Amino acid sequence: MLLLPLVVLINTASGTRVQKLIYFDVTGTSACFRRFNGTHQIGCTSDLTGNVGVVHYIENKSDLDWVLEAGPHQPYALLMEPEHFNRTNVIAIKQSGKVNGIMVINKENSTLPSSFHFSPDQSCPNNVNGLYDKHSQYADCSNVTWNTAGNGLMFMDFGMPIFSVQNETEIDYIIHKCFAAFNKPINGTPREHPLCAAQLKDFMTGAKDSHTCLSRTKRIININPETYCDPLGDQNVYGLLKPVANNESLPQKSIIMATARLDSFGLFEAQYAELESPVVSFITLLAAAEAIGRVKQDIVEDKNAKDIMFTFFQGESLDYIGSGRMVYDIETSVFPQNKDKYGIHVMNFSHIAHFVEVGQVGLAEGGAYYLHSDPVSQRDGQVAKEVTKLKSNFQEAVASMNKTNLTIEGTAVPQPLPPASFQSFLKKANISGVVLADHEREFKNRFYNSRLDTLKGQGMDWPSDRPENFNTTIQLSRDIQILATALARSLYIMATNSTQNISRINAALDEINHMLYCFLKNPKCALFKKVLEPKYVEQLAETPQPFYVGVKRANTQNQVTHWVRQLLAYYTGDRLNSSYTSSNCSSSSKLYNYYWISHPPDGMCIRTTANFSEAESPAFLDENFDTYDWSSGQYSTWTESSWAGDAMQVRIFLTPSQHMSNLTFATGVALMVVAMIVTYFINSRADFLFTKPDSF
Amino acid sequence: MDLQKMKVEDKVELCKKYFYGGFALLPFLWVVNFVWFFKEAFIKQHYEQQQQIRSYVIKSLIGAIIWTAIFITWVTLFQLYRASWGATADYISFIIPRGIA
Repeated sequence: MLLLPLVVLINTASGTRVQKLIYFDVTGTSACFRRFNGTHQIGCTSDLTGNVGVVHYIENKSDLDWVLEAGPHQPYALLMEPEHFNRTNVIAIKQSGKVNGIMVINKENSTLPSSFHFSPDQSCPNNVNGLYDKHSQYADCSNVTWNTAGNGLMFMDFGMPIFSVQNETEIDYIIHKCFAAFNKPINGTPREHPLCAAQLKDFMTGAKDSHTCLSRTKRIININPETYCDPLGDQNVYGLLKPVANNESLPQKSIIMATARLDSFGLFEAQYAELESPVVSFITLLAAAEAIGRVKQDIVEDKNAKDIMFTFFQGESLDYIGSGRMVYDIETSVFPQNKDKYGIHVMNFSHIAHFVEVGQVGLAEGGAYYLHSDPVSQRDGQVAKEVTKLKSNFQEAVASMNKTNLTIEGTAVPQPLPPASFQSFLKKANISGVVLADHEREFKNRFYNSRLDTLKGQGMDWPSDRPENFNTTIQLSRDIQILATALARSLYIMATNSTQNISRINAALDEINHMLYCFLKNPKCALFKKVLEPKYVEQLAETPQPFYVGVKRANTQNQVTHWVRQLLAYYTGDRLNSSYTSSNCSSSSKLYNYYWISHPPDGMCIRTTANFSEAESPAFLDENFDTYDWSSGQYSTWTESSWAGDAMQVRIFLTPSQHMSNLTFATGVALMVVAMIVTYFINSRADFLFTKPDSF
Repeated sequence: MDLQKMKVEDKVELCKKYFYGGFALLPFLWVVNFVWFFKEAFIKQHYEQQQQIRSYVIKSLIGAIIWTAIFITWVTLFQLYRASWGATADYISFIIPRGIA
């Protein structure tokens, strides 16, 4: 008992836990995790306790060759420069069986060579769920390979943990203090123990495919229900300019859908693509909505004018979750809502006049944009005629702008659509429509759905990081302004069938600067503080939110979706006068929603149709879950595996050789045996060894 | 219960109860019966009812062995083929392992 205070004393004196002395924790990491679709599992997992491998730094291709051919200390954990993390190498690594974990360097401030391209998506994105799956002429992007950089790494089942490491200090530590100090071969000769090893842990709970893991999750027999995976999904945003009530008549072909997507993905958690897809697309559409919002009275008051429904789809990059669901809702007559619940006229396909989608538009060269249209639906003469008309509407808009450096034209030859939400609609109905893009054939974007699709990665940057410096205009904002103006004028012409006075329709550069800054740099910005409800303003963080659809849970919501709804409401809704206060900003009308926004200084009541619609795959609905054919590709089936709260971990430590470990263990056992023998003899001769105190 | 203090008739009765009890899908009763009455049946000096006890003990052992065999076969089959049985296997599982099909 005397010893105890002493032990405590020593511990407080040194102040370092043994664990800290052994391990170096790498904290600036993002894990690749596991996802499922109807038939497969993809992504990464480690063993339950993590995979341990000897660290090897892959600076050049020859380093990788050395590991795979000569390296004697398998299994290895590789630290790779991003340019070597490609499909060929990853397959070689997987087949060798000598590597059980990978760390990919992803420094925030590194500049990659302009020849570098990386897209973990497929070269034919969303192929199976698209319009041309199994089409005799256009299947599998046989006509145009859209995403030439696509290596499909996202859809591989790696069977090992892969992490992205971001922190430069930690990367330097691993390279110099760990790899160079202990592991780096000297003149090609491998080093001896002790070696520096990494433990990579990201154990995934789910397995096999979406149906299996969801069925397992639904089956509750245990008092501790386990979640194996969660469906991916969120909500779409839509808003009309002149809603028609359910008890009135909604004319055929009276709604123009103007759409963009809100999401992307990436191989690593929280490192998702942002700029070219989706941010520039949806900001362009929002800017056009804002420009039209200022002249919407023309459309609202003209009985013959078509309505414009601005629509923002979530989950599009993962097999069209949002548009697939909207199509399903339209088919089952519950879009925008079940008619009992909601005042807006239920929509079906025949009400849709045109479909105008904003695809990837941020990397145009010389102001050249292209209008993609679908050749299959245009075999119908009426649709073909309307598509030609849409293209000429864009021509009229461009002509009205007097810009020498702007062209918006159809593609030179008929070719299938690039990956687009429009495909989901065309699967069910022949609708005339165009997809606006900066590429005529393959993507301009070298980093489609990759962590590198950022301002910096695309060779642009914000001039400085001063807070609230949105008012510095960059070239991108000017490009967006020009395109959004052309788009707004085109939509106006389509709606009103008139080119009169269109020169007063102009996208606002200020709003575009604000939006770029808020979405890409800092959501705690003037614009969001203006358009959000007061309680959401308080919750704003200073870091950008990921543009990833995320899992569908009852009480959580994708913030990006919410922000877009508020912007759409503010831009296209009616800004009511000050007789409306936060307490009476509501109405019994089922046609409109009333949002109280914090608009300084006094707040403002907005009356709008802008609202959410479900963006969860129909396959996950209770009525379809048991009967849906999960391999059919009809609906999106993506789910995300669950993992334990402490599942993700990367740490570095020194390992002794197997020989040394055995020796340590054997010594321990030997010591114990000796101690037992000694104790036995001391015990048996206790009478002789210890004298009894006389007094007892 | 101390067998030493029991009357022979009671021992026979008890051994019999354990044997028949085992048929209620309780193979462990047979194992207990075998271990518990092994000395009575085989080691002790011969006495009148020993033959009866011996027969129950042997039959309990056989029952236990058959059960064990069935059990091991089932466990082996289940572990080998659980993944390929798919949803059926999940349906008859109480605990579904994490991270594997």
